Amino acid sequence: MEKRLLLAEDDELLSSLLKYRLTKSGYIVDVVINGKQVKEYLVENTPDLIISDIMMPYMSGIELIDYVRNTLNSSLPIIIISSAGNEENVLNAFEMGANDFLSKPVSPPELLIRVARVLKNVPV
Amino acid sequence: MIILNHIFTSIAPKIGVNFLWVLAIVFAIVALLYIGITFYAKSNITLGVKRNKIKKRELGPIVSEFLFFDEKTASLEDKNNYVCLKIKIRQMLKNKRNRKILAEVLVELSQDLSGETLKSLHKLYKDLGLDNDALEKLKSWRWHTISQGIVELTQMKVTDSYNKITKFVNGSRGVIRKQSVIAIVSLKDEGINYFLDTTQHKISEWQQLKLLEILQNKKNYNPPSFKNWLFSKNVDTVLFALRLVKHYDQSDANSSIVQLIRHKNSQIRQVAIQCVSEFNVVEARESLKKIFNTSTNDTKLLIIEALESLGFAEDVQFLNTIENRKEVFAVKNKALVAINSLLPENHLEIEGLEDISAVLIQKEDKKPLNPLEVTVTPRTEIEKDLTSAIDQLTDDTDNVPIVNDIAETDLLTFTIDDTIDVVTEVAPIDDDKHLEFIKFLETKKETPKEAPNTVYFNVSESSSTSKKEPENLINNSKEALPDSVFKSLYDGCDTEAKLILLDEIGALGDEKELQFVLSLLNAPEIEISKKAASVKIIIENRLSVIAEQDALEENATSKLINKNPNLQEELNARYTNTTKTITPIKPTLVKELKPLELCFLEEEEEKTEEDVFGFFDINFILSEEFYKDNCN
Repeated sequence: MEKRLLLAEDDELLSSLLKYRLTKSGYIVDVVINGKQVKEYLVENTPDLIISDIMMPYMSGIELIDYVRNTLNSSLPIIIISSAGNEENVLNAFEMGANDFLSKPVSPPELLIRVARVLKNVPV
Repeated sequence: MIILNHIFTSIAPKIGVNFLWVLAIVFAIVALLYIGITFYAKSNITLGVKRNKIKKRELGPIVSEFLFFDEKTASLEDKNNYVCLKIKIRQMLKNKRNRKILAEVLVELSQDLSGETLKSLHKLYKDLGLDNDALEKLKSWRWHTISQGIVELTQMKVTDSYNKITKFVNGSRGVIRKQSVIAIVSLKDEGINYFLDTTQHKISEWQQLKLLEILQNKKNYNPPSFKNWLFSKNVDTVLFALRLVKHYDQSDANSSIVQLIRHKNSQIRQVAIQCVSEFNVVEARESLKKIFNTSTNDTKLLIIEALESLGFAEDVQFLNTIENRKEVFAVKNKALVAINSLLPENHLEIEGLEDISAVLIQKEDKKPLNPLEVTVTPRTEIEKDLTSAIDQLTDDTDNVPIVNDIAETDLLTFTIDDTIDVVTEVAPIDDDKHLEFIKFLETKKETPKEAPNTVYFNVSESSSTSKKEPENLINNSKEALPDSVFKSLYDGCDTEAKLILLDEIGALGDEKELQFVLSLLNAPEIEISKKAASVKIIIENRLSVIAEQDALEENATSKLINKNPNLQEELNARYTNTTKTITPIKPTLVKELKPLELCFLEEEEEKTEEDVFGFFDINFILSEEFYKDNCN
């Protein structure tokens, strides 16, 4: 069964490239570009994994984790993408319940490995 | 009024109404044209941005397709698609605008990607010939176009452009110059060498930091020996080279750095001093001392800091001269810190300390120290007995002549070593008087005039005193009390300290302190007299409790004497012989008086009764272990 991923990234070029690579690896990828769209998407859909940039319009990655964990009360796995030198945010993300993180500039093969690993660890 | 009207009408030009209408229409048309052109330009730009965005969305997947195409794993369908995309993109690239957008897409993506994907992106950029466009930009007369070209070529790692960019390194336009330096250092490892060799302009702090960051991010970078640029004609090059030497720990440049300590530029001096300190160049100490006077205060601080880390004891003299010279506070203070670091505890500041020793000396100048004035604070029963024995011998201190004047017949003999032992064991070590006493005993030990191993204690000027009963002796000692130890301290204090001292007297004081406190009741300061009154009450209360305890003990002793008449005889015999060494009382008697601690000690060590109960004998040494076990 194909896994459905939600990619929340405001940089359209990067999201397009990552979507292409993830789709090529067999995942179904839905892309949203801001926090509002994330909320709207999560009301109607339940992805297997969320990949989110930590800096997004309307809702940051940290707020997204908080929303998923506390408002939706979901244990949905979340991978955070953050810029280099943003360690404090990464630590906050882990404290809030992020499952993994990836730093920019992103290496698409590394992302694939992390996605696979996080999905593998998710309890069925 | 009429005249003014006439003047104005004669000066004012005669303009026709039609002309004014024409003028108004022309201005209106110009205004409309301006507004129209502005709106057109704005909408054009917005449209252009929208088109670019659409084009980028269109190009994004194509770029992804190119980047992630793997000929080995691709199916036939994928290969066909790839060929079709190639044709499509070649068609697109014929349009200059599309080429520009594609270059922008690739440059943007290069900032967000890493690893193999980034390398593929660089390769794609070159394969599509977009680097030629960037190189063309370098030929532009516009500075921002040239700058864009340099940034693009640097971002996409077009190393072939290195030589073309180097010609901007010493260009007249600052922005292009800085951009080109970053580009050549990023593109090739030897870029930093070329820059340091050729640059004639100032290298700003920001630029230095940026270049250092680029060098740090280079993988497998083998830095050149930066000492080669330490004597460049460009002062900024020297400074930057020094910083690079320091950053890469190139200690082979030590001799050059030592020379740079004498550089006229204070910034270079400072970095050189930091290097010398970091590389532990001990031979630089003399140079550091020589340049000290001609340096700024900041440099002086660094010099002292360097001497602190590199220096030896012989450098303290130089630091002392700084401390005594007319320098700013920070420099002098730093010198003091360095001195204390090189020779710890050697240089002690005494200006801020109160000289209490002077007070004591003054006191003792008036009245020479009499070793018999030593007061012993009893800690155990044994000590108490021992102390009372000594007190009996020294009861009337006012009448005690100086030791040298004592008649041979009035002496009671003790061995000096034993006496020292008794005093050191019984007395608090930090008591000045006791230390003086011990010193005195030591001198007696060394003086050939005195009988060896003999110290003379004056029992009394009259033999009658020596024949007194023990109780009387004790009473006499109470009548003539020496000054309180607090008195000398009290004399050197201010009112606040005196009040604190009175509190302490209240907590610790005995008869001596009571006398001292009584003398303070009429002190001129009301606070002190009030405090003295309250302290007096506290001491009196405590003394009355002690007196009650003593009375109880005396009753018990008299009962024992009644039981054993030998005791009284023993004591009488002991005090009637003035030259006799104090002898132990009979064990049979003392056995009943011995302290509980001693009983335990006896049990432990299984000593004979003679050994254990000879505590009235002064010729013994109390071991340290005894005090450790019993007196803590």
